[in-house]
Amino acid sequence: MPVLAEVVDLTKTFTLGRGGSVVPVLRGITAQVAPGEFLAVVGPSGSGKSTLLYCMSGLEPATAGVVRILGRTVGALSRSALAALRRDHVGFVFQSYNLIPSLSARENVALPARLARRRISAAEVDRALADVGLAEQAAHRPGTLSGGQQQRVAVARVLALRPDIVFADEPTGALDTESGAQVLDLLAGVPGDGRSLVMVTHDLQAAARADRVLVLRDGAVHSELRNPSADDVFKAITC
Amino acid sequence: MLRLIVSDLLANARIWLGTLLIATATAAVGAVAASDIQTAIEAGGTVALALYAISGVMIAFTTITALIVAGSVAGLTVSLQLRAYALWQLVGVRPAYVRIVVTTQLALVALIGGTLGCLAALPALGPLYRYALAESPDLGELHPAFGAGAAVPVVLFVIAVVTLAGTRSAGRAAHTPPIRSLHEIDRPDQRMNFARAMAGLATLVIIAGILVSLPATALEQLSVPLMLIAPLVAGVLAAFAPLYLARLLRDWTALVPERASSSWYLARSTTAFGVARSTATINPITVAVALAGGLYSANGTASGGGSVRTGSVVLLLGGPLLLALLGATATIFMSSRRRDREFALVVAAGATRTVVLAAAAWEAVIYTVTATILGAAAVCVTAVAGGWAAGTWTPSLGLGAVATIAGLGLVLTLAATVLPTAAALRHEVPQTLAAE
Ligand SMILES: Nc1ncnc2c1ncn2[C@@H]1O[C@H](COP(=O)(O)OP(=O)(O)OP(=O)(O)O)[C@@H](O)[C@H]1O
Ligand SMILES: [Mg+2]
Repeated sequence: MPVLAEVVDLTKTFTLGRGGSVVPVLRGITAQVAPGEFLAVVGPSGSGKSTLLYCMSGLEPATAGVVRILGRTVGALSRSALAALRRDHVGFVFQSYNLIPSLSARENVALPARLARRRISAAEVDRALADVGLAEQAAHRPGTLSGGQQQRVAVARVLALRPDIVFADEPTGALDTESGAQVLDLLAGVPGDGRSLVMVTHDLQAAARADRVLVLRDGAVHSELRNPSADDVFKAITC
Repeated sequence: MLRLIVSDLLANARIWLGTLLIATATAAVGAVAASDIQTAIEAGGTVALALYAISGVMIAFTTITALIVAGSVAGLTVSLQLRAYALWQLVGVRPAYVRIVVTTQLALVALIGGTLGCLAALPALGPLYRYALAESPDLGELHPAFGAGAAVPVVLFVIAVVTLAGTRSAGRAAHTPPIRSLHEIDRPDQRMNFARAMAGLATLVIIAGILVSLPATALEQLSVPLMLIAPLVAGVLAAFAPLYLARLLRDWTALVPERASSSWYLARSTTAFGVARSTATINPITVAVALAGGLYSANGTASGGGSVRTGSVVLLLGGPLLLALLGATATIFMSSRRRDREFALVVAAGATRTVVLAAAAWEAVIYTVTATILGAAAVCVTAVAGGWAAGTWTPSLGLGAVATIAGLGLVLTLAATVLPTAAALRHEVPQTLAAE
């Protein structure tokens, strides 16, 4: 089975200041995402989960190692080729600050399609917003939406575009239990038809819905679980 | 208190550097006018008469430009930091205190900039006057004077303009519930307020006064009052900008269909949404267009197409034009961090570098074209008034000057939007988003 995205021996370091100390954040991570798969990434705060997602989705270059998206090596692509690859195949939901402040919720949802010069009907956009329970707020700008509502607009945006692979960085972190569960249901509907979801989460129940769970600790893969229960995930994180 | 003031100045260095630059430039331009008067007082006789003749126009041009440019910049300085003020309030700083801190910051920066500007002007005054007045036989060997007596009023003027414009915004900042400022990063609308309305109406009264006096003015003396009209109209337009600018922007930019280009779409929505930001850039360019266009239109209309001497144009317009164009560029530079963030989000949503760079370029085009529309309207008022007073039906529109300044404005704003954006695109999206 071909993989949608993979990292091989991925290393990422940050240099603090000019000529300052070098901080290793990811230390030799190898992981794949198969078509149709739901991969969850868990681990303590600061363990490198967001950084892994950025590197895997091509938003941030790796320091060493290989990153491939749909079989193409990210490091070998020109900036514009990478932008086009991401635009056409990858969706990303950030931990926070996802939306363009000058655009309404509806315009934000339609933006990626517009950038890709792909047709998206007003009905599709409205359906995506209705799916996340925000039909009424379609004309609102991000500034007038709550943090959780903004997050749901961001989710609606990736859902409307139907990219091959969706990366989501704690998409339910800012949501109450009910709307969190609702958003999770929507995202969990992504894997299938050859499309995949990679999600960072602190929520053990959410992680337990994944096909596979990657447990990170100090920038390395501590363990990997297949179809775990919430209990299994809890144990893997704590021991 | 001092720590809060200083640490905030450092954290927002980019914003405050812009304010400092404009305070410096305002003072330098003011110094030219002040020196004209001081030299006239000291020289006496025919030299004094010749210098007094230009001092009035110089002061008028400088004051109008300074009020609009320094006012726009100081207002922007505050509105870019509303979020920080909100955070201060949330940790327990009282609103009145926020206002004091902001006013002190502005006064401090204006004082430093004002002093620097006067010092910077000193070595330039001699060459400037010699060049500008070389064609006048009596004045060619002039040694301009500029002492403390002239410098202090200039510095005080700069402080007054900067703090007044800034504290009004600061007062608004203090009265906005902090949670709201945190939410609405960029306040979508800039409100019309009493001070703006009064300033606009007062300027209208001055314009009316000039118009009434025109028929009684001899043809050869008509050009001076006429050339004041266009910048004054620009002042009125700036004062009432909250009433119409967002609409004007939205309406004319709609001429390009939304489907035609994603970069235009992005530029259009940012400029129309961030009106506070757009106004700060548009107003100075409007003034620049009105100043230059107005001068040439006035001369062309009143003296039947007689040419204007380059030397006197440099002396009268050089400083104010420089200040206005510098102001437009500085406002873009000041808000570039926020622009970087927005573009990072657009890149994350799938935009290519080309789209982002094009959006930055379109933004400059939108600013310049909007300002040119407004500036040209102001020049038209001069032209029509001139045609009416001079009894000619072919008033000069100063089109060459308008086009030149618009072109210059476009080049500068393009540089100010595109270059920082290109630099920001070299950073990775997560880093740009994490900053601030
Ligand atoms: N741009 C950067 N420069 C320097 N260090 C960074 C940078 N980005 C991340 N780090 C460091 O890398 C480590 C991992 O950060 P990352 O954001 O990936 O953690 P995380 O697992 O997502 O944490 P959380 O659960 O809190 O979101 C942290 O120690 C962080 O300080
Ligand atoms: Mg994280």
